[in-house]
Amino acid sequence: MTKVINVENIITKFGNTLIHDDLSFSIHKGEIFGILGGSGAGKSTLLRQLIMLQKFQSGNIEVLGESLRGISHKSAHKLRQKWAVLFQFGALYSSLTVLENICLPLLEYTELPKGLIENMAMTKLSMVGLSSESAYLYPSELSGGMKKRVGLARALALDPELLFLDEPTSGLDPSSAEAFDKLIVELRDMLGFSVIIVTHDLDTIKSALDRFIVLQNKKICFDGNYETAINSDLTFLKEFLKAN
Amino acid sequence: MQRIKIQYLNAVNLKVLIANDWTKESLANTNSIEKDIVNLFDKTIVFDFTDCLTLDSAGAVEILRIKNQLTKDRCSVTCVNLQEDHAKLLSFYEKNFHDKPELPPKKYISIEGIGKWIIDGFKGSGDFLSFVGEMLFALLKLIISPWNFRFTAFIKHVDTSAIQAIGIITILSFLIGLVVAYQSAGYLTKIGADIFIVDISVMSVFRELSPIITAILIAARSASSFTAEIGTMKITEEIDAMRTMGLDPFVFLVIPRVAAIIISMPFLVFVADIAGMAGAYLVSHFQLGISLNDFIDRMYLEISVNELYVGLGKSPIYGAIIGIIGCYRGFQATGSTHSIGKLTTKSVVSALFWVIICDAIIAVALTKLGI
Ligand SMILES: Nc1ncnc2c1ncn2[C@@H]1O[C@H](COP(=O)(O)OP(=O)(O)O)[C@@H](O)[C@H]1O
Ligand SMILES: [Mg+2]
Repeated sequence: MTKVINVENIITKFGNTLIHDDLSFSIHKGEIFGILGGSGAGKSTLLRQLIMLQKFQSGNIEVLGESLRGISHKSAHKLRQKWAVLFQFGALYSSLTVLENICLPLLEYTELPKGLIENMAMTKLSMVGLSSESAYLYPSELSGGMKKRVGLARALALDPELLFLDEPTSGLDPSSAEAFDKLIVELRDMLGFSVIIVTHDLDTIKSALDRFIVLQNKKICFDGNYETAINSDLTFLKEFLKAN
Repeated sequence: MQRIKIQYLNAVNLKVLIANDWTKESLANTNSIEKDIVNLFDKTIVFDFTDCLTLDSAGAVEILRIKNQLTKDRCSVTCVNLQEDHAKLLSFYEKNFHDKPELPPKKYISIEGIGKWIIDGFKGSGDFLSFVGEMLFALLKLIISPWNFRFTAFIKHVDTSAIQAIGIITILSFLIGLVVAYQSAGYLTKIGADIFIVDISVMSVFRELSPIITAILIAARSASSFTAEIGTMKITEEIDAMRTMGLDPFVFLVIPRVAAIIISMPFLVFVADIAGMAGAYLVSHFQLGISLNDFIDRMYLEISVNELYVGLGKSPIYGAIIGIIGCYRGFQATGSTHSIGKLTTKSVVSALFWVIICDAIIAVALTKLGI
């Protein structure tokens, strides 16, 4: 299996506070990979490091074969087009309609004709399960679950190879959350990208993740799938999976 | 590289070869919906994908657009010889393929539009009046139970809105006093009325310039920040949270802010007066050789203390206008962060507008009263 992300011996500090102490793991192509851990465990920080929003003090991260340490501007720009991020609250541009939000990356990064771009955007909108009536709504007119779906459609606009999601189901009702998990799995099966999810949601962990790591005490205390986790004799892990 | 090749098998049956790359890169800058394929009617068409190398979402959607157009032109279309993953991708996109829906009707300027604008204007003033009403009601409650006054918040706003503005107000008023005196100095020497520089500059500074300069600066600093702060709280539902906890946002947010500005304004104007006079004196001294004693004597003898009182007296009114409009605009925020920017602009502009209208009314009224 090809590795899409390889993390080696990452150490992160904010001032004198150590956040990550020597993390290493890798993510394979086509996998839905979870980053779990209690609040403040440094999950979001790790995600932000993978997408070059935050520095790390030592170690190395390789994404799609590019080392992030000392990466040039040009390759960073190229790399950014190969991944997409869905932020916790969708981060839709509030002055643009749903359709314009989804068209934006296509208009910026490709030279495709306008009509085709709009058709693509409408198709992606339907892929994430929204009807075409929402095309001309503004983000302020959408519910939380719809915002996340539009965010996902925008993330899928450029056919990313990697999709990063920060707590995608937090703030959604259980049935919307379940539907969202299903959607991610379905899209992965269809389009074959790899997904990296930061989550607490036990349902997501059970139903969507192929493999996950659990951060605790600045280290990775588990790396494997749900079956192994449930059958392991790490009491902390069992508690964590039950408590959440 | 050719992506499409058409082969006629006979008059109605034809084969379209889909070849090479169908990606965002290869489709860049093309005419969407390939030209040669649009004028086919009532045909039976087979899309042959044997030579298709790569297919991404742009390519798939483009093929679907072509197919869609042909179907509209009463052709029947079938796809053959697809690679397995291309077939999967294409059928997935086909299931979700959608045209852009009709734009919702645009609003044109029409009789209806003008009427709506006027009605909105009335509604707006109604909203504003009910806002002021609610504020007065909160004030009444506070008069009955003054221990509910948010003193800490009040002090904080006095600090951020007034004390932190003293520096800039001093500098600007000093410069304005200096400029007014400097501009008049030339004319006054010409007619040999040097000493009148004191009357002109002190009167204009006390009566008009200080209060207006202070109001402009406070509107720029505080009306905008009140709108942005309250607007953000409105959008993040903090204000709703307050209401549900039985905390009156007018008591917590509006009254401390408005009170802080109203009470600070006279002090700020007084500071501006002193700074303005310093500027005027500097010019009188160096340009016209008037000594400090002469300057002060002239002020005592010729200028009524009313000039000072008028300036100080109207400043709390300006303060009230700025504070109330700043808070009112904040409460108008709805939905998106986008609205806050617009409302902040509106709040500064309308605060200044009403300050100047009010200034004009006061000027006329005082003249009629002979003050
Ligand atoms: N910019 C920052 N400066 C200092 N400390 C930070 C910063 N960002 C995050 N932290 C700290 O790092 C830790 C991990 O944060 P985060 O990655 O957001 O945790 P979570 O696992 O809940 O997503 C927390 O203790 C947080 O206080
Ligand atoms: Mg987090």
